[in-house]
Amino acid sequence: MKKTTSFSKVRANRIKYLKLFPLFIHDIDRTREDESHWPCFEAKIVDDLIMIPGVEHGDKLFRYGSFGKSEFVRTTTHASPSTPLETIPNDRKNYEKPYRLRSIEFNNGNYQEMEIDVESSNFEKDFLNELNRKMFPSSFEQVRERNHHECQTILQQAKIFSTTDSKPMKDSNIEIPTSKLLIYEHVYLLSEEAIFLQHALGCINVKNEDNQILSPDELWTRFCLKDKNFPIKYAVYYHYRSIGWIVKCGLKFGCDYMLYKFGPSYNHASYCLSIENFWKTNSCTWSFISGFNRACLNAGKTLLLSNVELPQIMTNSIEQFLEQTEVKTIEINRWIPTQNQFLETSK
Amino acid sequence: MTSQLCCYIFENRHGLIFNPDSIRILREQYRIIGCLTGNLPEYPRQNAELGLPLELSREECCVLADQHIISMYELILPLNDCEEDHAKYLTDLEIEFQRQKIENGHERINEILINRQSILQRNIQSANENSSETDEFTLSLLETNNAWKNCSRSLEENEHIMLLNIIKQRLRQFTLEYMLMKLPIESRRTNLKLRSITSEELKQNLKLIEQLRCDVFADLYLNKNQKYWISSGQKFGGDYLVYFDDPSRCHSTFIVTCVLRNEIERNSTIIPLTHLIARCRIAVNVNKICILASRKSPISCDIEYLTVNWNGF
Repeated sequence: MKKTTSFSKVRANRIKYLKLFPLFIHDIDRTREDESHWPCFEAKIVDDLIMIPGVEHGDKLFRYGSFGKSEFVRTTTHASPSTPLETIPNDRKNYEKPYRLRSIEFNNGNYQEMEIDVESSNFEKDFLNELNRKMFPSSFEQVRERNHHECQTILQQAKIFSTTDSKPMKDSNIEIPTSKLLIYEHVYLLSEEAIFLQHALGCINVKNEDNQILSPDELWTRFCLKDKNFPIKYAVYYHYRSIGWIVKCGLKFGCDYMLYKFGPSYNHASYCLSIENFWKTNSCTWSFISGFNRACLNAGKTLLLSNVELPQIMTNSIEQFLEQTEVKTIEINRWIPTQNQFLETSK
Repeated sequence: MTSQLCCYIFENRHGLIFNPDSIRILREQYRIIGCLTGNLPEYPRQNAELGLPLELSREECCVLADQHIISMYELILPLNDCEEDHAKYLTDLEIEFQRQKIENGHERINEILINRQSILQRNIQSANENSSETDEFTLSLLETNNAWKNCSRSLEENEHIMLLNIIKQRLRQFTLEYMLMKLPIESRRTNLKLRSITSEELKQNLKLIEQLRCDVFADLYLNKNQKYWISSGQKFGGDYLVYFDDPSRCHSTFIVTCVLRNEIERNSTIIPLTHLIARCRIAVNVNKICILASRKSPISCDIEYLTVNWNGF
């Protein structure tokens, strides 16, 4: 396993206060002792994806345990600092904006709307219409006023969450000199993460499209219907999460999961995990696994193969399923004969 | 018609070619690369320098036999050696050994005499311990060696003795094991029994994926528009590597993997998305293109190729 050697002191300090899960226990974290100290995050299912509408909740989930993924930014969320826990040293001393501002710049002379082809699809037409409306409004003053108004409402809401000890918000950050688009960034969870937070940690409520809270078993059946391989994936996810690894999606490396020691914001992944149950006839060749191992080694990671033994009787209850499943893992390494001196026969 | 290039088949799978000229012809004229698999017995289990024989895969053997480029044989075992053949073999070996001993002996003596100035200066400190008798072989060599005769006229007594000792030392090394190296080359026995094999025999009892591989190889090798050089793709997670020119001149451009599609039932031929991405990633890391090859329909010999590209946005 490659050791990360470039840890600056700031990062080292940050890791001292690292938390594996977004749970705050008052003895350790010096929070206020009250009945509701066990967090309850809110999630909503939008377009068949699990989204966290509240920006602060998303930030907490992302910071403590690397649950979820922001829309635009890969490794951080931009959100207000978590004021209840004063022991967390945050190197961003300034106020962090709870939204992300993007400016769309265009040449001064090129004030033309995008042309919309009649033949393009409905999706394209909608997109271009929206873009034209936002980019070429009737006047810039209107846009500025609208943006200003929206920022003020957000700040008012943020003031409700923070305690009285927090620093006063600087109003100078609100001035928007040119026309900009306001884009909200949300945190999206994977289905495995949602079930883990709800069933194993009990700190999230998931609402479906009709705003009804779903119980863990209902969520489970819903995900199993969508993806029939979901129980296998969740078994592996649960196994490694409960040991202490941070488990994230591994699609860009061609594997099922990536295992991190502290989180993607802190170091690169240590392991690439591939689930053997998904290996069908066409992949079961020696040359494929050798090539796969080579690609993982090029990225500095070790390949792991997990085999999941499902229980004979499929149940819909998560606890029974987890009790009866077994996960076996093997680690694949490359052996170079000329570099292993102890195997040479004496001449 | 049988061709001159002989290929010996073992275990119905591996074809071995022992003749270096055949290997050269195959590489230069017929674009066959193969894989050298031989080692010297003194240096076993090393990957750095491999030599004869050249191993041809089953697919290459089938295609070449069908095109009548090589002729395939199988050894009929066990070999029966009678006493006379064995005795003849040993005498042949002995004659060869003696002949080489004389040749190399002369060469060695000439070498020593050319460098005699530096040898004498180096050995002037060490005393002459070796006063054993000169053996017959060395004596006969020295008598026939012209350089020695010329030099010994101008040498002093102790220099003469020193050089003689050194020559004796060096010539003592000439033993049978030292002189005759064991190389895996074609045997010159006259009592070998061979049986010629056709490509249909090789293709018996193949699994579906192996049949597909043979067909894909034939399709790529016999392509009329473009001449491809094909070698094993195991280093990169595929079945074949396709080059546009000899591998010693360029890198390969394609990694071809054969996948079963419609020969067996649907569920087991699914390629998971992660595996597709893994193949693409392997190919992108080494600047090659990943290709999936499969049949158009379960019975036909037509092969379809699909390239998968990795684009960054």
